[in-house]
Amino acid sequence: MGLVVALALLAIGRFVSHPVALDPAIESPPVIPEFTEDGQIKTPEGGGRAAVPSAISDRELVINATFTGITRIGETLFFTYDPSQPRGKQACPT
Amino acid sequence: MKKRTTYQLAALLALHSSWGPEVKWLCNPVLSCHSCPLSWFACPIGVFVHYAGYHLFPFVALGTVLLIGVLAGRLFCGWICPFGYLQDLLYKIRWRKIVLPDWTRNIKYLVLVFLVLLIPYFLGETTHFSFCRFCPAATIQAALPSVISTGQITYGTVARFAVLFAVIGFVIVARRGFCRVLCPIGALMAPLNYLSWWVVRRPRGQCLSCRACDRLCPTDVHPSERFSAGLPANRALDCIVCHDCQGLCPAAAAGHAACETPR
Repeated sequence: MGLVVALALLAIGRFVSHPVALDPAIESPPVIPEFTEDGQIKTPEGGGRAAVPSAISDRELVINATFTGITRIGETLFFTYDPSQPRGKQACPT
Repeated sequence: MKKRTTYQLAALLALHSSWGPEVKWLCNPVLSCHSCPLSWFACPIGVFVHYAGYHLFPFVALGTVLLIGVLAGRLFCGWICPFGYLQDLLYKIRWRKIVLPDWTRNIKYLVLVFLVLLIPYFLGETTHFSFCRFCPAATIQAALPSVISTGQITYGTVARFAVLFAVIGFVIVARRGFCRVLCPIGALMAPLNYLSWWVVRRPRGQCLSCRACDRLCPTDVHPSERFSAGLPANRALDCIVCHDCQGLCPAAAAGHAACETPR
């Protein structure tokens, strides 16, 4: 029973996505909600600035939660950083 | 060196060996802060605090923790958790020891409900009153390096270190005191001991009723009661599945026949 619930949660999490807006304080790059197979934000061909997603997967939200990469204002989630830039190791401010 | 100590030491090194790559979508149910520059995995408590603040249900995080709990119960508490290992080491310091009253075990459920779920839900994920703000593991792994590198000390930092020193003093006198009384991961994983596929079987050999297993138990969950009832010893909320009761049983060591008589 417990195993079924665990697998069900993981299966649901695989398909759930969360709408996230870009913090208005951050310069707005083009919004294209695309990820690579390993969950990274897809970089446009030929290099340059990566696209910023308008929604992220639950798995990606877990990663963002580890460094408060997303915050909630009202009922909307916002990135607290520019997700189009390369992201190195991040520490959580909490 | 005991087998479990070897595993704990190996886990301590392995969990904090990330030179760059990370697997932070995976919540490892041990008290190890994901803000540590060398950590591989996410801390489920830190993730739950944030999800509570986001008003979202943590499907992947809870699913991962539940899956590990169903497969292994609180095995990670006894064999993998770095903070559990630290407690094992600190308890070896020669000092007056205390026996904790049973009711203190319930405090960790309040910690889980209030400091991890309710307070971040109502005050936001960055509130100064969430568990992460006082987590002793985070103080060692993230706040201490930050203080050393930046030299900045705030009231929050002072509060963190005060809690850390209080916890250190507590676990010197109370064996696995933090696990038993305060750990929200322990509270989260505790019920899964009843569902887990991993079992601590009764040792082979005739039970001598010596209760050596009860005295050895680091969390005082009286494994002899379940052994005599024919149940796996880890069917208890606070069992950390260390297997000490099984491995150090004098009857099993003497090679007696199977114990069938309840005490």
